[in-house]
Amino acid sequence: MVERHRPGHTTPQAAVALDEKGQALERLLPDVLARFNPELGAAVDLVTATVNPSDVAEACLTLRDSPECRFDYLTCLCVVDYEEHLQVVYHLYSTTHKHMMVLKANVSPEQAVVPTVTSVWVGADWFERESHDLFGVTFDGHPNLAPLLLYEGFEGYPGRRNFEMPEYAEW
Amino acid sequence: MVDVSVESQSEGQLDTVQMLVNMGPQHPSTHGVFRMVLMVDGERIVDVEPHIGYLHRGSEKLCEGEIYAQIVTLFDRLDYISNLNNEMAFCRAVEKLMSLEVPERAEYVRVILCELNRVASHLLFFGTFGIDAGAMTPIMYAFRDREKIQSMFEAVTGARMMHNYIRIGGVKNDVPDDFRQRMTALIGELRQGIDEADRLLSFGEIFLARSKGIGVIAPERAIAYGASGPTLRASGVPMDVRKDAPYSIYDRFDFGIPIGEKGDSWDRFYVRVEEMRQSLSIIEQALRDMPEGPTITPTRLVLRPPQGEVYVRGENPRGEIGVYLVSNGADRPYRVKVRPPSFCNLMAIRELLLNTYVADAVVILGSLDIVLGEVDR
Amino acid sequence: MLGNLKGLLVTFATMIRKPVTYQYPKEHKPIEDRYMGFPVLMWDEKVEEPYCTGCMVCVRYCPTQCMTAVMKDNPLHADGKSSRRKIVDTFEINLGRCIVCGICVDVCNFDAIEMSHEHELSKYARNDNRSDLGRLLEMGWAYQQETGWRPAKEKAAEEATAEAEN
Repeated sequence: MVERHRPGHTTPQAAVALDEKGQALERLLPDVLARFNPELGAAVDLVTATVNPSDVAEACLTLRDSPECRFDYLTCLCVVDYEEHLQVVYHLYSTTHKHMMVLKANVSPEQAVVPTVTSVWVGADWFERESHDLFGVTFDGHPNLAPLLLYEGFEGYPGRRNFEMPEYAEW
Repeated sequence: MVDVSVESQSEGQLDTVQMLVNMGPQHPSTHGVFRMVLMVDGERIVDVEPHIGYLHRGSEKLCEGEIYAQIVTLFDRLDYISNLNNEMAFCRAVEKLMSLEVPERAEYVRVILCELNRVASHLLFFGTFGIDAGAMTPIMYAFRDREKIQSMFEAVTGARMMHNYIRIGGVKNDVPDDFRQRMTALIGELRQGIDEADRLLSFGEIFLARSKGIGVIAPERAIAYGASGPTLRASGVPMDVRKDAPYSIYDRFDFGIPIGEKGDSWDRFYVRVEEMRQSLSIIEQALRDMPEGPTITPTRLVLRPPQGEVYVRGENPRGEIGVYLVSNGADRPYRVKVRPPSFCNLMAIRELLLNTYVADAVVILGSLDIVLGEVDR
Repeated sequence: MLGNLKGLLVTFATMIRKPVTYQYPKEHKPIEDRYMGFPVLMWDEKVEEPYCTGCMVCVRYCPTQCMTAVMKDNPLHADGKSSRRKIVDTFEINLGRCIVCGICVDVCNFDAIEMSHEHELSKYARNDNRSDLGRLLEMGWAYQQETGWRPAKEKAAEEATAEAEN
């Protein structure tokens, strides 16, 4: 990504506006996740919590089973490549309390290992395989990390930003 | 396509061996390029290995290299049966990030078209599911009505499928002058058409025998898999983003969420039929209340949303779509991740297919209503 | 049994109805006014030259990079016949690549490109869908004749004067 450096220009930040449920979660999460030492934040209208990559599975289990949270629905799992680190992002939703939060974990691109959450939500299965495919994040303990979207033997991680796109010739 | 390993038969008794059946990727019942490797014991499926990725175009990666206005065209091509719903999800993500207000009339136009798209999508499902279950006629009735919707789209957006009509900040242009009359007529025709198609297929004994009690999924398993939309609602979970976290102007309408009882293929089918009727009622209400006014908030062509990340959820015909958008303040997004509904619904296929018959595999896969364009992205 | 009979009744009822199908190559479905077919270039009859100046804004914003354009000095401008200093020299759209999204029309500052009603893609040779300036203008002229197209700026100006008179 080419950063634009215009003199006197600072990139504006997106406005944060948590709704009632978000604020309640913001108060609740430090207690629920106390064990994992989370770094709390907010992204537009969602509460975010960043934990150590090694704690992800346990944190997810805690979030799923604690009665105030009940995050029983893994909405989305994705990886964002911030170049100096990869961020694994879990969007969690509760079908009973109808609130939503974001769990994040930062890993280094060279040693991208996160424990799997397939034992917490079965639905993480393909999401993790996809992330392994495209970003080279290894999900420790995943039953089958075979390529999902790419073919066997594909070299490189096309989701990462330093991936060189092949040139195509028009015919 | 069948790999048979023959073993010697011992004296006096028939030895059965398991057989590997490769279903797809070019199989008419897989609705695209989806491949399943079935291990069958006689007619019974003992193991399933789904393979996807034949249609992987790298849409998410492509989004990183395009400006925001161009990305709408990429979102058209994810779930190519419900294009407008996809466009709306992306545009809402950008609008939320920029805190951009959408004019009232534009919201109404969006909702009307998205609900119409939902009906079109479910009509396609209606027809193809009939074919999957062995009924060849319903698709003619479904497509007759879907064709009218496509013509309506053509009149409003200019395209029958890839519209690029919903823009960041509103919609491309105002609806044509005769929109209200045509829509009212269309709703009447659709009501009739859906009822007719419903009479034709839904309660036929053969169809019931093919789909009742086939491919049952329990509500808690469906939730664990992250299933959404009709697939989840058929199991009796009344989860609908339009009700749970109303976006756009959905909180102004009075509509019901049809849910199934058992979570079998027939429930998944009939939830969709009922949903079409609910959608038509939403359209009627929206047409009644539609105000006059501008249809787009003027923005610059090259948008530079503020730095930040946003996640929006929307209810697509197939389930819950999620768009995760990360921006670093540049004119192109830093990362776009789509949570495709079919992707999550399809994940449950293994559990659904185990211990069923091969012939039912087609029905069960059909009842999930997948679109490979968004599964593979 | 009853459900099947009901279904059969629907089938029988269809027999006495008019068919809704069009026999495609022989008859065409009527096209809606807003239909977006392939992008074509418009011809300015007043000055006898294309509206397009070859500014390449559409080329830049095309999501599929299906266009190329080259600009040249306008000889008519030197003669004082035209107000356009630059004019398009060559223009090519690969219609096989075009996804008819209409972004080129939105970004054009000169009302030079327009979505026509042309939509037939089948051709005799592989490269026949690569349309050059001549063909694009020809298709555009057909569209202008068919719909009585006038540039949006001209229309807006006329409306403004009409309103002022009222």
